[in-house]
Amino acid sequence: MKNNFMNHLFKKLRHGTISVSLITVTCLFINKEAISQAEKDSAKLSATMTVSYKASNGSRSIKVNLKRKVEKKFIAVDNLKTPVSLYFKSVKEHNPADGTGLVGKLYLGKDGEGVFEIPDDINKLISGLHKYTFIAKFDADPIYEDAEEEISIADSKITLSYLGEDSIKTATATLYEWKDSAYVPVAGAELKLGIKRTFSIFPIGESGAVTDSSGKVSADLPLDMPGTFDRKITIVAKIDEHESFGNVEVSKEVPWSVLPEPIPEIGRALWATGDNAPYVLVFSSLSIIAVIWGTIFYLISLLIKIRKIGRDKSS
Amino acid sequence: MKNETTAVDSVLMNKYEAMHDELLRPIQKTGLAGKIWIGFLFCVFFAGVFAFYTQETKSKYETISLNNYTMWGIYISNFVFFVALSLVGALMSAVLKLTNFEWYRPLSRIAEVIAVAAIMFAGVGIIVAMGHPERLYFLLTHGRLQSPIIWDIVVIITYFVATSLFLFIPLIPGISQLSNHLKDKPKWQMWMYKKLSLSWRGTPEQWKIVKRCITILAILIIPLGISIHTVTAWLFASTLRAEWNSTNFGAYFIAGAFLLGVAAVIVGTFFFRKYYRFEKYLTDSYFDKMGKMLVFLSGVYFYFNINEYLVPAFKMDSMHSQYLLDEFTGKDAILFWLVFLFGIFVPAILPLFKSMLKPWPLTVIAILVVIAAWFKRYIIVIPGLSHPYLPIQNVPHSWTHYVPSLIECMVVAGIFAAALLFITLFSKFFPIISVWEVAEGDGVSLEKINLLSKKA
Repeated sequence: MKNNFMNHLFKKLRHGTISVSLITVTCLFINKEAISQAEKDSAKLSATMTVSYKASNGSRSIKVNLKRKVEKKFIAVDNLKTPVSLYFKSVKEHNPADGTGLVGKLYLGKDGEGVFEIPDDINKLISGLHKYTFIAKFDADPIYEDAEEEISIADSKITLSYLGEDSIKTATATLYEWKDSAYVPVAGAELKLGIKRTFSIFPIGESGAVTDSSGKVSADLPLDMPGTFDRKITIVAKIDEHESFGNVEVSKEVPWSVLPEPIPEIGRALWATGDNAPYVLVFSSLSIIAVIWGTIFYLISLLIKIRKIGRDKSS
Repeated sequence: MKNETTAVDSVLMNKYEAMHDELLRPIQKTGLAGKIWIGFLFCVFFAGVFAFYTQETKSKYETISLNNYTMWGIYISNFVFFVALSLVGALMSAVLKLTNFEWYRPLSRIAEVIAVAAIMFAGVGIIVAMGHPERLYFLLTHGRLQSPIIWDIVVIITYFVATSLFLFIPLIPGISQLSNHLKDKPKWQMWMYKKLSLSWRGTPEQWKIVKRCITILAILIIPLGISIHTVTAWLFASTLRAEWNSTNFGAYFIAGAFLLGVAAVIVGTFFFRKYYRFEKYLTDSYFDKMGKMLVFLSGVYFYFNINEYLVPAFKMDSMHSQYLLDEFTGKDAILFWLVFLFGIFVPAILPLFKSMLKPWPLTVIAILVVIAAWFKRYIIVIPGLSHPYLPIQNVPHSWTHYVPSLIECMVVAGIFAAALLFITLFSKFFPIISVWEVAEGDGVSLEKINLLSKKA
């Protein structure tokens, strides 16, 4: 009687557990659906888009940056679900509906940034123009409100010359803009000169130097600056975030006599390359591996022996 | 006197005959619950494989939450957990055997199969964490001998081979019995038993070789087991992070691994005992002994934790203070103290009460220890990466914290399922208790064990 009662109770409990589990899973599912619907319905976040232009030695790119404000601070948008489209407006009016003027689409990275490298066909078009406009936009994102930003660029160019004497070596850059059917020098613009190093540009000349009336800026190169092993150095002239021209940069490789310091021989060390491991480490580790794997192979040979004995009917 | 000996022998022989028959039962038939369990594990495993495929074929920006700072995430904390778990073979089989603790015998195979599954899937886990699986090949062809990552790869492969041999060699006499006595099994299964039994006939020379192999492996596996986890600890200790800047790390990791290993064997023993109805062989007394072991190892682990946390906390230098305060009272505090509570205090105190040494309560404690051990690895890996020497500045907000993505969770769940599947399927093909080792422990001679094998 007692057993029957217990069995009945266990069955009830089992059924109860299954029912509770099913109800819990269903509730979780419904809850998830409800939450996602509520998220869709709630107001979207607004984000600030900035667009910048860069021309470097003939290649052009547009950088898009998206930020949002959280507690009075701007943070990068790292969860934009839709791609940002870039349109080139200057030939004829762009039209997102049929894709007219579309340069490309890209998803922003986790840093809220994306760079459009302008393809060759549009680059050729731009080269024949002297004022052009790009539009970056995204729409129908589930989290963010639609955003659009436009950037207009006026044609400019920088020429870079180098005069290398034994005792003095000078770089001169000239900034021009397109005006009245010709390139004319730009006076009063901040034009930076520098030497390209591995990770950055080493500035030369006066800090904050602006172009003179002939659009020129000059600077002497430090004579002790090491170049490359093939006796070259790269000088750079650039304007940063100019309101009309954007970021424009040119560089030029020139002959140089100062060689870099030879790379010191590290020899065999823990921090050397794989084939320069210290002998002590090589011998000790290989000895340990040999002893352990030797033992393992010995054990495997014993297993083969077990099989031989088993097959040998006389034993 | 001779008659008495014969009577005792007869009782023992009857006991082992019955034991042998009962051990064949799970191999002969799989019940509905067993099929559901295996089916469930297969589903989770395939979901993990699908998640890994998604991770490898889609942008990792989209699929995983790893970033420049937390570049390791739960893949590596899970890897460390599995490496720790694999040490159970060295502890339960080798250490107890060599120190003449005879009660290890019925538990040794459970410990060994857990160890093999753990080290196998620790290896899989590290390949998953590499981002591209082919990097393993490049690591072997271009790796630097000076790098702890190379040491880890070498020691994992070696430990896997040694542990597999340690599982296989004592199994040979048992496989021979399966080959002789199982009926109605597919041809491939019988062929497998025949090949794996290595023509075992139980001759004195064969026994002598098996015993020699077991002794050599028991000696070999202890330094190997200690090496594998020490090297894993050095992966952290040799990386420049305040939290990992410790000379205590190797011993600290090994102490934690032994505690986790015993807890895992308790859980495994409980479920094999309950679902295969092995109460007669995996008796309460084994839980009693393992419970006491749990208390001892919790104490040892507590000691290493004091060294690891209290000494830097006493000094509170600027580099350590940030992450220590985060763990003691800050954003990681709840997880940190829960891990301490369930991973050290509960197993150190509760089994001191006799009623807690029974299978049910001890298994609940052991499950808590296993879960806490997983999160313990999490709080070693993640906060350590989140506190670099150079402050985190001007980076996306999401880089400043880490929450594992769904894909990462699915891959980790898949690895768990695969390990459990390996253990379950092993128990469906091979006896989970070594009869001859138990009989030998009770003083039964090898001749009689051979006789038992032929009678059964």
